[in-house]
Amino acid sequence: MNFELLVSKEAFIKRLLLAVFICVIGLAQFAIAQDKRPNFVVIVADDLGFSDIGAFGGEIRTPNLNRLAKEGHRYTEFYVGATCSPTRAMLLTGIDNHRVGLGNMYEQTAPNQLDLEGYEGVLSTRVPTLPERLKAAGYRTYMAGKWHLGHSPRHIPAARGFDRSFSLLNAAGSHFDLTGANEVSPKSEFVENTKYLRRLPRGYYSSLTFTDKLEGYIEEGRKNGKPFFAYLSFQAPHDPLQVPKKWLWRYKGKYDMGWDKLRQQRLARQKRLGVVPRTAKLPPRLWYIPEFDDLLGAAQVQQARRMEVYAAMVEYLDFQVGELMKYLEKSGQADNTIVLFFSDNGPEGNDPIQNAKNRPALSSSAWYPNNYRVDFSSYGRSYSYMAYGAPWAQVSATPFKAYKGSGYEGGIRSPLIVWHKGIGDKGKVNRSALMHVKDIAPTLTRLAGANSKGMQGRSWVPLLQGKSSNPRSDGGIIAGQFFGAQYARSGRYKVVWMPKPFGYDRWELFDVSRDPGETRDLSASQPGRRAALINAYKKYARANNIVRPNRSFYDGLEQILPPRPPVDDDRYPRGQEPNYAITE
Amino acid sequence: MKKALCIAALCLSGGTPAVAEFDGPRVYWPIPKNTNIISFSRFDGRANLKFPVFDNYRGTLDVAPDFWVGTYVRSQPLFGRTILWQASLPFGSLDTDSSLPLGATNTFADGIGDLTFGAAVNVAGVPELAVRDFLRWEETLSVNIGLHFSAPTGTYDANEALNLGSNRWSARLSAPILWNIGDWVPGRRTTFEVMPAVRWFGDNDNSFGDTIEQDPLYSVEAHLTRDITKNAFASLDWTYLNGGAQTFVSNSTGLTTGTSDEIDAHFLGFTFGYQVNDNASFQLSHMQAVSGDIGGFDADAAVTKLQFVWSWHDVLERRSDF
Repeated sequence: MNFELLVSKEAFIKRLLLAVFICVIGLAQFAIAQDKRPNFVVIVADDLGFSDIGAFGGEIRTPNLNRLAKEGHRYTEFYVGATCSPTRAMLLTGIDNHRVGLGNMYEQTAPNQLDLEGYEGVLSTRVPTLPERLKAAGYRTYMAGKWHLGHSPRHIPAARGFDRSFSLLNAAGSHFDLTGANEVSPKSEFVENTKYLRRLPRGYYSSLTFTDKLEGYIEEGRKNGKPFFAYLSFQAPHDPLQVPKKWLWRYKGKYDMGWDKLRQQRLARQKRLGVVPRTAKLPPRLWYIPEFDDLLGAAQVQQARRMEVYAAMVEYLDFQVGELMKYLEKSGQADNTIVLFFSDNGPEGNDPIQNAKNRPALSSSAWYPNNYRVDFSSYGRSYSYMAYGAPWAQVSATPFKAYKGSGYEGGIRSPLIVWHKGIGDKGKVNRSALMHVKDIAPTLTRLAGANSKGMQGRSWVPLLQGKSSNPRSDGGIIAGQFFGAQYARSGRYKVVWMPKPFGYDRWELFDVSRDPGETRDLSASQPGRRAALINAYKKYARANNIVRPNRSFYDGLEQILPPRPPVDDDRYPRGQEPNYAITE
Repeated sequence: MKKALCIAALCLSGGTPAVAEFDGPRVYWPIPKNTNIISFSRFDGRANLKFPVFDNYRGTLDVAPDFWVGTYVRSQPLFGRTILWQASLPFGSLDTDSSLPLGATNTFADGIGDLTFGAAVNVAGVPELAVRDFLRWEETLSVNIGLHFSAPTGTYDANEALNLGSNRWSARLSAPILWNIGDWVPGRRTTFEVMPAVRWFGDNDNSFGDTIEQDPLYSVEAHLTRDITKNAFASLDWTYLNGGAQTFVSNSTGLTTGTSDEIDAHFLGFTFGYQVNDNASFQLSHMQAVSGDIGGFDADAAVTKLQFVWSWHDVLERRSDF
């Protein structure tokens, strides 16, 4: 026996096995390196209005978002929830918020909704989330920003499918530190992965830090070659309106023309851009908002300053979007990344400070001056609490009626930008695609080849491929219920039931494709259409576990707000007949 | 609304320039155009020689003054900037409790002092400010130029060593500089203020038969101020005086009868200011000579000033009717 030969045969076999092993590993790595599935970046602004960014008619400088719009697509008929956490729940599940735990906001749950399934106020663990599905399909999943879907270790982003995360768990709070948003939530809670934080990173500012964190996560995971899903959930421009010092005065004097003229200017720009139809009319200024020109000079300055700070905050958000895009481009990842940008709901018209001033004897009111500066001179600072209030919210919502929380378009319609290097027909404005935030999860899972079983939304893949112009061209409806406000839209038409005093406690019918401001109720002229849409809503409500709240923030508002005039039309101011002896 | 207007008022009553070298802190802060400020300052102090407020002491004195300065300031627009017109009138009495080296018998003087008038205009940093502009004003760095004159209008007796009037003209050129260090938000403001100035004196042609000639007096005043609350501030004050040597020339012979050395002294002190309401505020200041030489004597001077300020602006006044 040739021992030497035997040894060398064994060695040969070992070497062969080793070679095969290396080959297999190499192929596997090659396969990973060649995973050409797209990356997804979903950017959500908080309480941003439809008309705030330049690409949707705003005068605020948003060059980076404008660029995304110019190189991508703008969608104008995109619906979200009327408030924050319901939208986020639908975004991350593809399922109606009433079925996944956010039938109402945790903070607003009504007595008849307590303990009901679907109304837990946190994202239900019974339902798989989008990141969980993508992760199972081989994606890396990252999140930075506002979460607002549950605080417990079972509900934080790390437990809901995100590999890496840095999150504000609350609805709101200071953009600079851990100071909370109100007496009920006096300290903000942050979590990084599974660790609850006691202090924030040095130099923390929400938009800056969230973007930096997300970039870091993407960069950290880049080497393994897997595609990623990154959720950048800005807290801006949610109140308190605060910006870094250098940005405080960027819009000084820019809003001295007031909310009435600004709304008109924005509408005119929107028509030029084609993001609203030529037939669009502004809804009347809300009856409890004074005409800007009627304000005294100092009051005008005080009000204008609010919008100045808000605008600076939006511009800063845009700047951070630019930073993220720069990073993706420099790192060579942008070519294979789909970016979505939208707002979680309409702009915020509620002003907690004004509410507190109206009830100065309450400890909940005193909480604000005890924890923030609320005076004019401090507006925008890191220690200030200021919200821009209903007058400017109505501007942000141009051309829509009302704002956040409402079933009118101002509460539920958001700008949507979809960007991808390879997208065709760049710069397109699509006013025909009826879209919903629930559609995002099925769209991304389909693009990723992930499981989308149980989702209700409709995939936009045919739309993005140019094979369809509307995911609901079959007349599919979009519907929702928030705080008792109800709506359903199919095609051009929408029925909406808004509680008093914002609505009339009855169903109204609008052709929102021609009349996005919901200025002309067609109920009388088209009763059949109205009835059909109401039935569609009822069907939606039955299928989606809708329990209308028996208590909501609309209760008692009629007594608090000034009486609503019989005619809501700026052309017919009421109060006193003209004095002909003078006018002649 | 009212709160917004009060912000304006908060800054209106910061203070008014004094008639001499100690202007004090927060005097040249930006204010809206067409603002009116009236102040009354009461001085208390002691000096050994040639302290400018008590301009005509000659000799080593301890004084017990009942001395006031009334000042009116109005801000007005000027070519896109704001100019502060000012007129001041000292009045009251001075009482000494030590003998004078020249043998004068009168150790008490009363009446009015020399009228001071002039203006300070902002030349860099602050444009003309209407109330609505002022509300949004964020101070950074501003430079003013002031020119004030003192006229020989006060009570004067050539045969008295102690007078409230100085029987001569003087002119003071100053360049107050304001640098805001912190946030321009009441309760958080921190400023550093520097005021270099020079005063030229005309001759007093009759003092005991002499003519008094005086060299220019240079001064640098600096204040580090900080809000304590939204309505109160404190300031650390420093002033340096240099120059002002005097020569006494006999009117009858033309010969020099005497001289006094120049002033070369440092003063340290503090100011506390409090905003009482939209219109009224007061400031309490104390300055103490800490080193140097005053007219050949060891520096031994101190001034305590209590200033009441009343300010108003038409816009604010009308709103206060609500």
